[in-house]
Amino acid sequence: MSVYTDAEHAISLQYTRRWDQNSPDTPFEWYLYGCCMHRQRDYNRAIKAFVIAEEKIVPARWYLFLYDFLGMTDEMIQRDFSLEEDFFEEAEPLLKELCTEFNRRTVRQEKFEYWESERGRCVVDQLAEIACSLTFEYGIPRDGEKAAEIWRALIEYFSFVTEDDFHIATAYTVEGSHPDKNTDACLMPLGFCWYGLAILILQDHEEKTIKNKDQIRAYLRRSYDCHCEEALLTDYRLYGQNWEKYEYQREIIELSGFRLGQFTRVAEQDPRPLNIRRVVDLYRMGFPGDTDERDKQFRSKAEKWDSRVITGIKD
Amino acid sequence: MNDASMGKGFESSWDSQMKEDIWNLTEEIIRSCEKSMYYRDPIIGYADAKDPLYEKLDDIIGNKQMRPDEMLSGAATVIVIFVPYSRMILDDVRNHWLTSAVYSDAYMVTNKLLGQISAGIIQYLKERNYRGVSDPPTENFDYSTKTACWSHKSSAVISGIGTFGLNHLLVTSMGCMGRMTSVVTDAVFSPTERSGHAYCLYYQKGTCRVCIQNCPSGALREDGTIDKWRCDSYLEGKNVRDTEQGCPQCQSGPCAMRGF
Repeated sequence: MSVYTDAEHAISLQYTRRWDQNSPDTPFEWYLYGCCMHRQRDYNRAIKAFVIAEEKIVPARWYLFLYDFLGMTDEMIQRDFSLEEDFFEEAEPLLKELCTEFNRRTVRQEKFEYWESERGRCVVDQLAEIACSLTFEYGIPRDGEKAAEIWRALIEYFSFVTEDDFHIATAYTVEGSHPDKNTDACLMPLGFCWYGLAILILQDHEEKTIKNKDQIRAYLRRSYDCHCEEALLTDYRLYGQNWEKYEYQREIIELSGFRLGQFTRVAEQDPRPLNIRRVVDLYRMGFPGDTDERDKQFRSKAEKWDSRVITGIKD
Repeated sequence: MNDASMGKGFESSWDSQMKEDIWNLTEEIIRSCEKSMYYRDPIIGYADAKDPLYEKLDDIIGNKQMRPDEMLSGAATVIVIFVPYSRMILDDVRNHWLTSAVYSDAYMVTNKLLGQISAGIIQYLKERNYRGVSDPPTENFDYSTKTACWSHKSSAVISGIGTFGLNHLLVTSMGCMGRMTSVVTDAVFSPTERSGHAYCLYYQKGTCRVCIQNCPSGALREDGTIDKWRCDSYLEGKNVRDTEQGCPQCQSGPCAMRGF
């Protein structure tokens, strides 16, 4: 289906080496550093970096996006809003204020109204935020038609990025999401748009007819090919029950293993209970394809981590 | 020089002298390494390049493997060098959760060291008018299939210095925690003996299974197989810094420092 894990690993290595050699200094560097931490699922550090970037008056557009992303990763971790809020408890007052439900709603409503009146003048980030809000009902009522319209507009906007642009060792890391570049030609935004479209169909057609199913899976596949991992997780959640016949066994195994590794790393580097609980949750949910004794054995690994919650750093 | 590394099959003084020289050379390279405290004495095995087991590797491993004579025309022997890690590395691994900076450093340092050992042995052979070639100790595998076309481990087993464990690592008389490389040469050495003894407790008595319990990704299975994609993707997610290389969990059990 894709070479997601290899690519993400290559990107992580490149970013990490960059930040190991040069600490972030300028607001834009703090923003990039935040993106790097977010990509490595180290949300605490990501948020702190975005806050610093914002304090230095750089539009750290990712924080609301980040919030949405956290909300959408619930396929692999049991969603717990109180835990998510805990991430933001850590952040500076400015961020807390921005992320309160009232402000989120206000910000989104204002942006939506702005989009309605000044359609052509919205920038890509704003459009994406509005599409998210309309699709996932964040702060404003869901509107599938309008959401689809924006997702398609964004897909057209991102159409200059093709799969040919994606090479782990060359274009993607050197010409694409390179930390020294001010542009990000990464495929992920495009993948996210395809994901949004797939979700819209899912929401509209609960009965999931064959035709809808094919279309949903086609969108999800395109999305995952553009590195939106939520797409594969959704595909697995919807269509992975019959493991023996599941087409993307290897991909979901790699993605699940990769995420387990990422969460584990963050928990070990920053052993606050919140980070450890993410690992515990992953183990307790089991691993794709595991049955019987193997499944039991995998889930039992949660206990070892669970016992570490009390010895970890306080949240 | 330990007896196990010499084997019992050789008789000529030439053979004996060459093997002793290679062992001493390897030992000297290890001791002159800045991080020599990471290592114990090496184990060196000699496999007949025409050993029938090489013909079976494609089937056993499941993908096309190079024969020694494809690595080097006229190949006669495969020299396998296993460098066991010292206790300090195991202690550091056991004192941490999943990431040991010492283990990680050893991984990086040993990559260089194994290159130096191979180069040293090839040079030694060249000075005696023999040819030798080597494959890198790591990163020599296909990323999509996670398989290599030259297996140092398989040559180690063929040479008799160890056997595969349930953890899919080479378990030697000095344990499994260590690294290895191999040199293919046209010099004819007497092969070291394969005793048929399994050093892994599971394969010997059906007990232990600590490696399976320790494996954080659940990639190891009791039927003796391993999900390579699961293991590798876990590693890729966890290791993004040079100080976080590798996952020592499956080699930190009872067989870490000794074979059974």
